[in-house]
Amino acid sequence: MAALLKIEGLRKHFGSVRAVDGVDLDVKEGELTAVIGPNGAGKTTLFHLVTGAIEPDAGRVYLDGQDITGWPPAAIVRAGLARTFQITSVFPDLTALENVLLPCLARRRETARLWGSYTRHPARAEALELLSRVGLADQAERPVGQMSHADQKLVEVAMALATQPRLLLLDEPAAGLAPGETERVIGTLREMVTAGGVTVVLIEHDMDIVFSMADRVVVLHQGRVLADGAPGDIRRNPAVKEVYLGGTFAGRA
Amino acid sequence: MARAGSFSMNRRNSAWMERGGWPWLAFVAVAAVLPLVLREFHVHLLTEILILGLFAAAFNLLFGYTGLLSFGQAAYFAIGAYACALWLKGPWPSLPVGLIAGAVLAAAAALVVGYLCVRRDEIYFAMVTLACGQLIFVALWRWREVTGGSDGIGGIPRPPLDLGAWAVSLAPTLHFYYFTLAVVAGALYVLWRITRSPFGLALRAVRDNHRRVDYLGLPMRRYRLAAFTVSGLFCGLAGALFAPYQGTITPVLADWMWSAEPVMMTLLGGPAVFGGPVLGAALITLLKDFVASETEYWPLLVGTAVVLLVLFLPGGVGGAVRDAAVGWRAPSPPIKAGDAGEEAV
Repeated sequence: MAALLKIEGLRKHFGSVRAVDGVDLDVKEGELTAVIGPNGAGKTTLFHLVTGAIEPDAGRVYLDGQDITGWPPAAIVRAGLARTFQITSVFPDLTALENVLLPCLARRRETARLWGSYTRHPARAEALELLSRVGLADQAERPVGQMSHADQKLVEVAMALATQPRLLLLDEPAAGLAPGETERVIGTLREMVTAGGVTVVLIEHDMDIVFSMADRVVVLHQGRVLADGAPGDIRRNPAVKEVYLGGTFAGRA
Repeated sequence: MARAGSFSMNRRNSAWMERGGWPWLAFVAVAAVLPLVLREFHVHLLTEILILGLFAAAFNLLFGYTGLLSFGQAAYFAIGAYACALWLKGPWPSLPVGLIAGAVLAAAAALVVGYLCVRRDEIYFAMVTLACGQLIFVALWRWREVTGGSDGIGGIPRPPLDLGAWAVSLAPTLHFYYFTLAVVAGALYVLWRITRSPFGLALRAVRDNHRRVDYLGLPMRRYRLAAFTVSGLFCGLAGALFAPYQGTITPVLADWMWSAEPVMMTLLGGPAVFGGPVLGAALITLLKDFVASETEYWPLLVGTAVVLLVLFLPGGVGGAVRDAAVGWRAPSPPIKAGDAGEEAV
């Protein structure tokens, strides 16, 4: 089967820093891929390049065979690729419902309409449904800025899903969460991913999450792919142990 | 567009009153009755309040709803005023045509200037709008053959309003007041509907977190540009009303000092409430009028009032009124955003 996401020779240097230095990667439909690597390995830069936030120095990105390199971010989202951010990025003064309603309306190309109340738009039901799937239906009318960090992360996931993506990039979905909250967020994510049939690539530092969720693990190191394979293989890979996982991980393996 | 009206028609009437309909009724009722008990001079003043209220509300579509501080909205007000004045002095003077010409020309200018401005954020956006506004100011000043240079355009007539069967004279102050009220109330209603439309939601999202909207499939700059153009349109309409109201216009209308007026009015009245800028326009115009008759240092007093209000009443007078009204209607539970909140008049 053809790859849903195909990255070829992607490169981005910031001055002398080789943030992403020739990455090749194929992601198959339905697969859950985790991208791991030490700080500064180029994981977030890779996401920025794929989603159009920054332009690559070299290389191409294909979504379902279509070359999306250099496209503006909004066009890439419309093509079916959504993302969340490492630092949760929502609309704090808008309610949870409004946060999710906006991408629902955008997907239907309704946001250019200057007439008709958005609060009574049929897309509202869809937004409420998405909120209840992340367990936040009872907080629909609350401004997101007043919600807990974990709830904000879930709102952001619902926003991304509202674009009905074929591919979803999650940048550290558990970053900054307390242990109890991590389980709730990751549990919800896992349910939504299995139910929705969306292909996911996630960046994560928490190895428990990575090895419990991922079908495949890609290890980045200094802007290059160091290892790529099934979680079990990655655990046993000596090069990976050396540069990244170190003692704590070796003990569990 | 058959699709366009489908959902907005549903339950509109039943929900209308509870969704901010009553402040509209109150506004129109007060504005309609007030001139009957006032002297002519005050009716004249009330006309100015309506025009400036529309100007400030149009500015606030950018400031309060889109998060863009423009220091150049006077340019579009002036373009509207000049276009309308020139039309009224032309061979086929008609006020409705003059208003449309003023609004459309101002919107066209805003579309061009906006294209340059929306790439910048915050203070840089404000500076580019200021610079472009001053360019238009200088153009009006130097293009003597058309604009009359620093003398401006005088003797702007108020042609009678042709209503088919009979013509209504707009020369009496009271007649012109009611004409202005009809135009301003209609324009404010359209603006209000825009703030509650899907487009309005997109603008508020741009205001809240402009870097995020692109990643939900909305090209952020296009929404800013659309907001800038719509704001320019209504600033132009306000200016077009101002020309026959004053009878004389000069390039000062495009100057940055005039751009500061809607900024002050909005800060005073409250940018988070739809009716805030209109309230601010009323307060500043009245304050100026009453204080100016007592002392020549009135800018000092108006400035002090704005500073104190921004410091101690950050939501503006309109924000305080709304909070009081919400508290009065629903005393115990916390304010639920979305019902009487954000955009109540």
